Amino acid sequence: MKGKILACRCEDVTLHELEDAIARGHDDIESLKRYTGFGTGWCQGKSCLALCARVLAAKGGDASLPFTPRPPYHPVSLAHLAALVADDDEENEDSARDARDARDEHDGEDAPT
Amino acid sequence: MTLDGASIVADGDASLASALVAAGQLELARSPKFHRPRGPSCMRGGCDGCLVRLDGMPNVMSCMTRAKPGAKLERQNVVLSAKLDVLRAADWFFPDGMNHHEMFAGVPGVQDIMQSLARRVAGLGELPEHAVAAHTAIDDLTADVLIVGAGLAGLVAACVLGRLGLGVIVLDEGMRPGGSLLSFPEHAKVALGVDGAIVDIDELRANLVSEAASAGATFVAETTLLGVLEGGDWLGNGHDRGLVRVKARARILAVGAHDGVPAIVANDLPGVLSARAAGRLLREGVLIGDAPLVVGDGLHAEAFAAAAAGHGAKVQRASLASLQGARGLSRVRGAVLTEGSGTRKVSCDAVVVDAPCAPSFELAVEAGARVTHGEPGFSVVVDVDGRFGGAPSGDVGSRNSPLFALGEVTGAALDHAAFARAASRLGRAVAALVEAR
Ligand code: FES
Repeated sequence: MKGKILACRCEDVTLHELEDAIARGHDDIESLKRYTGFGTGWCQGKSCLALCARVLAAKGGDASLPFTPRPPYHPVSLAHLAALVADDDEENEDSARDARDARDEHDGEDAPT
Repeated sequence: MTLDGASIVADGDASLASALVAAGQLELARSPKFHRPRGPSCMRGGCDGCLVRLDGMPNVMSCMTRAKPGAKLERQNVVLSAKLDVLRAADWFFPDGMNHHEMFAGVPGVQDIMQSLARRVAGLGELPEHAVAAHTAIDDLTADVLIVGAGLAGLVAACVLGRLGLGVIVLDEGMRPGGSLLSFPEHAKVALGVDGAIVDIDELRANLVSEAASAGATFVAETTLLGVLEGGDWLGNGHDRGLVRVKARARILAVGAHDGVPAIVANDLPGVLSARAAGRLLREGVLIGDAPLVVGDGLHAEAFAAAAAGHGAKVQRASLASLQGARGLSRVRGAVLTEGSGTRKVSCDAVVVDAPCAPSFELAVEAGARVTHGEPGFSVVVDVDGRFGGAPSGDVGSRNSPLFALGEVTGAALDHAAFARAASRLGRAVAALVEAR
């Protein structure tokens, strides 16, 4: 049957492209991903990685390790993530205040009377 | 609601995606390079098929968002019109695919034109209409034990650990607890009794949820784990609420598995979907086709085929090995099967595939787990207590590792009896760990 078989639907990588890349020597998951771009789209490999690893293994490549999973594992808006920065700032302020307090105490001890 | 200005009527507490499919709107988006039509394929937040623009916000996963009155939905990435996207021409021009390493690269002038075109058409959606206020606070949760995933494995673990007197929080991305149990049609009869007996899936789910709750487990819904923070706390995202940070002495990953995707022609065509997705749609009141071809013989395929036939659908069955591809220009009109030494065309309006699921190993690996590769995908390696990694060396089952995995994420098949046995061993190990601290 003719027609495209999608290896990675988010990035429109076809099975043909995948096999071509393996034939060019990209025969481990990480290099195969870097060359074809599979697994780099919206789903980050949730729907394509297993299929691509299966194809690679069948072609004699090294599918023992997945590509490195990187957070976030689900799309998240920058507006939500901004809370992390606010939280960090708060912590930094706390430690800056601690440092200031420590310095003040120290200064207090050494202050000429 | 409206989709591109046309009115859509939804009822109940369906997801946006099921409301759209119910209204006959299966082609929701276009793919980035070939502008092939895309539709929902997983109904569980794991593909690119259901993205829409909602009230001016791009890239909303409509399968994980509740339908709400007055919602203004728009298709994304469509050039000219949804029915006739001019960039689909790319699909015909490049029958095998595009190798962007070689295409027009290094040709002076042409390269620049191609790049500016690519910039215009690539990407998903357009920027939001309005600026969104930044969140400033993180919700902090603390428990003895965090369980990620409220599917069969997570629920079984919550019951066991709750009964041991531990404080349990169960985080789940769904609108209600159940995970892939909710991917069975309503009241499906499935061999998932703890003794292997055939049970009503909704009675099973309700019993487990109420047992866990009365053992003291707290459910946090619509919250997805994002990753591990410096210091070891886990970070989640409450879909409407914002970030959630969980401190727990022991953590159990019961995140299940991603849909298996078959390498068949036009596996991305709207109307080709997993048996779990078809089951979930049916649970939300939407039969994906009047004449669906159900492929494979797993629990979900069997349950969907039975329920669809019960709803009057003309169900056809085929084996996974015989499926060569789907046919149709913008949605499924048929399929091609191997028969003897030749092929056979069948006409159908949906291809419902039950292929072995691929364990969702991602978070476990970030937290230090080892995985092995097998036919369905990468599974998290656990010791006899269900422990994984956690030690700097990544040793499996390092005695004091507070990290555990249970269920399909370890490569196990959906099996209540096996999950219950594993959970009781895991429970003893977790209780010992929490007491020791
Ligand atoms: S992500 Fe919604 S259908 Fe797959």
